[in-house]
Amino acid sequence: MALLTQKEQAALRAKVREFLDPLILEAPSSWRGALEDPYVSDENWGYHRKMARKIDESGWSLSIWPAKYGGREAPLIEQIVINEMVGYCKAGGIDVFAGMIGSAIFLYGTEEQKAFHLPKIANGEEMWCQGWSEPNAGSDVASLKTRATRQGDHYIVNGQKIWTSNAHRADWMFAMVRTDANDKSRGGVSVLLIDMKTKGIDVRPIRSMNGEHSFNEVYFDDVKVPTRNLLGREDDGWKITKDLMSLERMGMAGEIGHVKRLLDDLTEYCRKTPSGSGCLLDDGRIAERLAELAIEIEVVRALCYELGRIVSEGGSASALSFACALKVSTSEVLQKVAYVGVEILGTAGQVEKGSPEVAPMGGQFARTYQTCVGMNIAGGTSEIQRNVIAWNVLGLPRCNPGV
Amino acid sequence: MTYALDEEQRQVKESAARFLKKEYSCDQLHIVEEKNKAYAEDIWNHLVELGWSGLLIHEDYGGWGGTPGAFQTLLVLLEEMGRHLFVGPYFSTMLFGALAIARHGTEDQKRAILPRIASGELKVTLAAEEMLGPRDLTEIETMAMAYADGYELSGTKALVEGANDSDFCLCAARTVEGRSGWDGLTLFVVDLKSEGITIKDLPTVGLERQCEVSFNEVKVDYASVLGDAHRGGAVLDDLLAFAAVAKCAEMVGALEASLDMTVRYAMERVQYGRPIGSNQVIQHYLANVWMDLARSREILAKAASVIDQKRLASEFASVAKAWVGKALLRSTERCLQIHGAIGTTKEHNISFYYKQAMAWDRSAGSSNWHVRRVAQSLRDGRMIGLT
Repeated sequence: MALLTQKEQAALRAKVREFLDPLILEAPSSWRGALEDPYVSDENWGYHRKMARKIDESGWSLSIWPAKYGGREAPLIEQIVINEMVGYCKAGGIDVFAGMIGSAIFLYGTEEQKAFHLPKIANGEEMWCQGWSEPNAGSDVASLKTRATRQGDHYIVNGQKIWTSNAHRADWMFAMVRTDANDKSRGGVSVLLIDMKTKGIDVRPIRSMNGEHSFNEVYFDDVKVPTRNLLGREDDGWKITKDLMSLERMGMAGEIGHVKRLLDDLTEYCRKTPSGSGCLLDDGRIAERLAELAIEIEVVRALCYELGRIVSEGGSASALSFACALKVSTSEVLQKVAYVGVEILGTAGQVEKGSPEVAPMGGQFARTYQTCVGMNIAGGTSEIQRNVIAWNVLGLPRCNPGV
Repeated sequence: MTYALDEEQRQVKESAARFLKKEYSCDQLHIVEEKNKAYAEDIWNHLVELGWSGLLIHEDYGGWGGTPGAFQTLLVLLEEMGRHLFVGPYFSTMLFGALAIARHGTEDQKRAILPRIASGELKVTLAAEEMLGPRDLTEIETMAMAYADGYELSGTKALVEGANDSDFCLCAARTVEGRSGWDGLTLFVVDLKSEGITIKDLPTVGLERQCEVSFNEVKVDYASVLGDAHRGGAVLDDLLAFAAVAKCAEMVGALEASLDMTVRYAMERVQYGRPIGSNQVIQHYLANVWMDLARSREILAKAASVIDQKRLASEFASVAKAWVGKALLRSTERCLQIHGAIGTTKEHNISFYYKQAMAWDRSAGSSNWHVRRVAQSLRDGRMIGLT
């Protein structure tokens, strides 16, 4: 796949921005454009879906797929540029789960599955959640126990998932289940595509520390799933989930755009806020900390584009480690920006809502202070990412034998 | 993006790896440290034989390179050199000799100097920095007073790399009184054997020879001015962007070498009946070093890709140098820690990498200096990046 020149990238960024700018004005007041924003309120969800439709109409949604699946075989780098810009503009409409699950279906799905799901994923009609974690399967996700037993042309699913983002709004779940009860390792794991309207599924909310609801527990009680909804081969699902992890990291582009925007907002705030005879930005200590963060964000961006290049060219042995490095780097820089933000804001750093005088920048730093810690955990903890790097590229021995 | 090496770069990389391994293997670092002049001279002659002195010089001026891609090839070579902590006059001669004259010299200067650099006859270094300590690189007080036939230079340069080994230096001096920063500076190409120059060795932690160079009414003619008089700040800024990126390439090589030797050690060193590399804490330290290597490599590639775009070049050179400098500092510290007691001794090469990290972080503008430049961009209302 072709790469874009810097000039082409810049032109695309300008075009995307021009397209998004008027649409953002329609965002609800509770919208701040963070990763979890779409899932926390009905208004946000409605706006997110509308944006997904508009972005698709413009030809910028999941454009890497062939036309018959709703794409136009655009270079992957283009998707990264677009996602990053959508994140930077706080525009919404690019769904991280849709992107990576769609890609997994594209890579491993039957012709029937692709024709059924992909066009609807591309135009935002079908939204997804992913059922990975279980109460006793967190970092050690392969120890999952949710069972799928074959009965004729159906699987009967029983068990429980947890930390499922957006299960309360998603139409479908990409679920990891155990199809071989005797195999307790990665070997007996399969991926099922489960319609969330199926009888026997019970979704219960988990409230995050800021009171918002994006995570859920999901209970399965004799849930009937047609065998045609098996993705890939039975007992061979671990390979898909491993690829999915690299694909998920491509979704980091949107988050990096968002972090960059948080920093630019903060820098603008420091430029406009009087201090002494000048502004906050005249304080060398503040300006240098902002500069260090700006530097770090550019470094993470460079890593993201390199991963895009590696994946475009068919992957490499170190792709998984690059994906891990990108996940760790993105969540760490988000956390640093959040902490520097609330620190600069001083007493106002704790205010969540209110007029610009009491809640600068809409309270987004008070909110990010609460959400950023989850980024180091969701989608594989920073510790697991480091383990994978140590085992995958450095060739160090696994420190937890049995896995 | 990581370098996709072309044929020429691949050849340079291979020949560099071969040469450095044979002639400059790491067990000889203590020889270099003793600053054995004969040894350095020997290595220099080898480099010239390999043709590396002509890399940035067009064939019209006696070289074989100087093409648009030549700087990228230099980065490949410097990364190999960095891997072996190869120091000496090559870096400064390429940046402040070949590149400086090729980019900013007059036709006469090019004809007079470039062929002599390509042939290995001339070594060149930069004499800019005066204020040691946390002061600004641009605080230059050396004055050049105009007189009938040229200028007279007076002042002291505190940190001149390899002045003892070099023939010429590129000297930054104030030609307009009362100006500061990049304003009112002129660059001069000065013969280090000129009357009025004294050179003193300055012991530093790195392997390279550092010197203090004093100019006492040193006479230079008008033809020795590089670029426009009084506008040398812009020339220096341009050269420092190239030098900062080039230094990053050396540092990336050193970072990778540190990681490689430490991963090897972590697998060899057995305690409690198993290699220490099987402990999660060691794995996480090493994963951090690997991430720093990956990130450093990518930001270096990014900075290199915009090196021909004036404002972006200078901005991303600062971003890269600030990041890679700090990444090498923290990575070599972790690698040393993993080696345990032996890492603190001269016996083990990791201590040389640890020391060189500090020296290189300070070279071509310290990481803190580059952070301050980025901070200044923010103050000027430029939101860097997203390019």
